Amino acid sequence: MNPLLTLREVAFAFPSTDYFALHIADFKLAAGERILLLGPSGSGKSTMLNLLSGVLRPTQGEIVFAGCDLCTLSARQLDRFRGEHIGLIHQTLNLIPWLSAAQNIALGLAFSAHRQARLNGSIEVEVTQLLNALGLAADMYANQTAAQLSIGQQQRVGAARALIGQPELILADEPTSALDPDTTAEFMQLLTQSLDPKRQALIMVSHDHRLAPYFTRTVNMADFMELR
Amino acid sequence: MRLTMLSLTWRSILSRGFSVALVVFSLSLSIALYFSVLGVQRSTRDHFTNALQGVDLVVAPRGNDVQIILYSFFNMGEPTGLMAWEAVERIAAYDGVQRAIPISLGDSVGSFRVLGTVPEIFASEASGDGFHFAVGKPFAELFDVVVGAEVAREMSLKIGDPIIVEHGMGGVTHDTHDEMPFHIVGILQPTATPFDRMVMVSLAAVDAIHTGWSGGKNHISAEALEHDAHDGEPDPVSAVLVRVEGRRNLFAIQRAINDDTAAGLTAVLPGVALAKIWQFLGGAERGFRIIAWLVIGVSLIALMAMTLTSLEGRRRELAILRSVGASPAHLVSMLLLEALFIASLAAAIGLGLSVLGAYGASLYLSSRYGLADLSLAWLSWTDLNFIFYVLLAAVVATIWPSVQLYRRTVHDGITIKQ
Repeated sequence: MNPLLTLREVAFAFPSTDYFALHIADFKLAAGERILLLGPSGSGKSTMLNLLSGVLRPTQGEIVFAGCDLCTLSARQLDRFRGEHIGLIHQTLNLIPWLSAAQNIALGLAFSAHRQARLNGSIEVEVTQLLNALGLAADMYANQTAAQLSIGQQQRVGAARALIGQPELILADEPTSALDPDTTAEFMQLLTQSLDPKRQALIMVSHDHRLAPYFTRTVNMADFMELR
Repeated sequence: MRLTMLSLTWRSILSRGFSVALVVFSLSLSIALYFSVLGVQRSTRDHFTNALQGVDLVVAPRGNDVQIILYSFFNMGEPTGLMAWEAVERIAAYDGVQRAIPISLGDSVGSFRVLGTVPEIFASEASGDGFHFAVGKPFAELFDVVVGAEVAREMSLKIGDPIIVEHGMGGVTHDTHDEMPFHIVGILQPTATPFDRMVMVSLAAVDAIHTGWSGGKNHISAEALEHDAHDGEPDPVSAVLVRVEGRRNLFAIQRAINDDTAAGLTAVLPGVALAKIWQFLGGAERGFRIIAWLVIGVSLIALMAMTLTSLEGRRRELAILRSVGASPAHLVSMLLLEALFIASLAAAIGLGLSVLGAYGASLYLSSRYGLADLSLAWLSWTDLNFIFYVLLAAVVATIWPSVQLYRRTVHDGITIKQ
C-alpha cells in the first residue's frame, strides 16, 4: 500500500540564518498512522508543521502527499491543498472570537469543496455530531463563543474543525500544552477515537513524551536536526 | 451554516461594530455634505434659469450684459439708464419678434420692487411659461396692481386692498406716493422666481407716480393723474424683454441692435449672461466641492486608520483562516470587501440624508413661501459617478492596509501569534 505522505531528502534552512536546518532523509506516513513528533522547543517542530502544511517550501527534496508533489504546486494551490486535505489544531487560541463554536467548526469547510462533499448530512447535522462526539453537548455549546468556553473546550472545538469533512491528515501543534493532565487525557482519547483508522492519519508535535501511548509511533525531532 | 467570504466579512465587520459605525457615520455625513452642496448649486441655477424662461433677448441701454440681466430679473443693482418709447416700438417691429414687453423699474413697495409693464406679460400662459393667477386678473385700469405670491403673503394682501407705492428703493417713508389710490386686482401663484417678490403695475401707472412726484409734491389728484397718464406717449422704460421666433432671427436681431450705435442699446442673450455668472460663481462652487472632497478624504483616512489598527487584533483570525485554506489573496479581498461595504453603506446613508434634507428644506419653503413645485429632482444619474469615485477612493484607502495584511499573513502563516 502506498504511503499517504512521503518526505525524501527534504532540507530546509531559513534564508537569513545558517546555523540551523532541518534534514529529513526519508520519512513515510501511512493512512491510519498516528505519529508523535517529540522535541523540545526550538527543535524545528513548527518548521516541520509548516513544511507539511505547505506554508513553507523545502530548500530541496520532495514532499509527496497522496501522490501529489507539493513542491510543484503554486502558493495558491498549496493554500487550497491545505484546506482540502489537512486539518490543523493549534496550540491555543484555536477559535475566531466573533464566530460561535458551531461556526468555528463549519469554518473547516469554508475553503474546501471536497471536505464539504464528504459530509453525510447537512453542515448543521455534522457539526452537532462532532460536538457530541467530543463531549460538548451541542444544544448547550453550539452557539457559545470562545470567550464563553474553557480552554479545554476551545481545544475540542478546534479539533472538531480539523476533523470536519474528514481530511486525510490531522496536524496538531502541541494542542494539550495548556491543559491539565486529566483534560489532556480526555482530549487525547476523544481525538484519537474520532479518527477514521482506515484513511486518516495524525501527526502531533509535542515535548511531552507521556503522550506516546496514544500514538502508533514516536519520532524524535533530533533525528531531523542538522547543525551546519 | 455554510460560511462564505461574504458572510465571514460581514461577521468580522459586526464584531468591530462600533468603530465601523463611527467610520460609516463620518463618511456618510461627508457624502451628504457633498450632495447638499450639489443640491444648493443646482437649485440656485434652476431658480435663475426659471426666471429667464420665455425670454430670448433682453434689450436695455448700453451696459454690461451681466449687469443688465441682474437688474432686469434679479433685483440686483440699478438700471443703467432709460430707453425711449420710440426704441421699444422699433424693437417690436423687427422681423421675427413675437412680443416685446417693456419693463420699467425703480419704484418700490417696502422692500418689494415695482415692475411697470404691459398686461401682455401675463398673457403667455398658453406657452406654459407665463404667470398663473392665484386670484384675480391682470391689471387693466391705471391704479390696478398685481402682486407676486410672496408680496401677498408677507403683506397679507387680498383682492381690493389698497397699496402704497414709493419712489426709489429701500422703504424711504417721507417720499411715499401715499395719495395714490392703488389697489390689488390680482395675486400670482408662486413661481420660485424673483417675480414672486414683485409688485406689477401698468407703465402708465409708473408714469403717473412720477408725474405726481416730479413736481416735488404729491398732492395732485387722482383725476388729474388719470388725465395726465393718457396724455402723450409713454415715458422711457428700463428694458425690453423680447421673444423671438427662430434662432436665425434671434441672432440677426441681436446683431442689428448691438450694431446700431446711434440707438445706444445692448441686446443680451440671457443664457450667455447666465453662463458668465456661472463662470464667475464657478470658483466658489469648485471651492465648496473641494472642501466636500477634503472632508470625504479625512473620513477615508479614518477608514484606513481603523483598518490598520484592526489588523493587529486580527492576527489570530488571519492565521486560523490561513490554516483552513484561505490564501493571502482571500484575506486581502475580505479587507477590500469590507471597505466597499463600508463605503456603500455610507453612500446610501449619505444620499438618504441629503434627500431627507432637501425634502425638509422644500417642506419648509413651501410652508413658508408656498412654493409647491420646488423640485427634489436635483439628483441625476451622473451623481452615481460620484458614488463610484467614493467607492474607488475607499478601495484605494485600503491598499496600504492590504499590503500590510499580505506581508503579515505571509510571515505568520498558520502560526497563531498573540
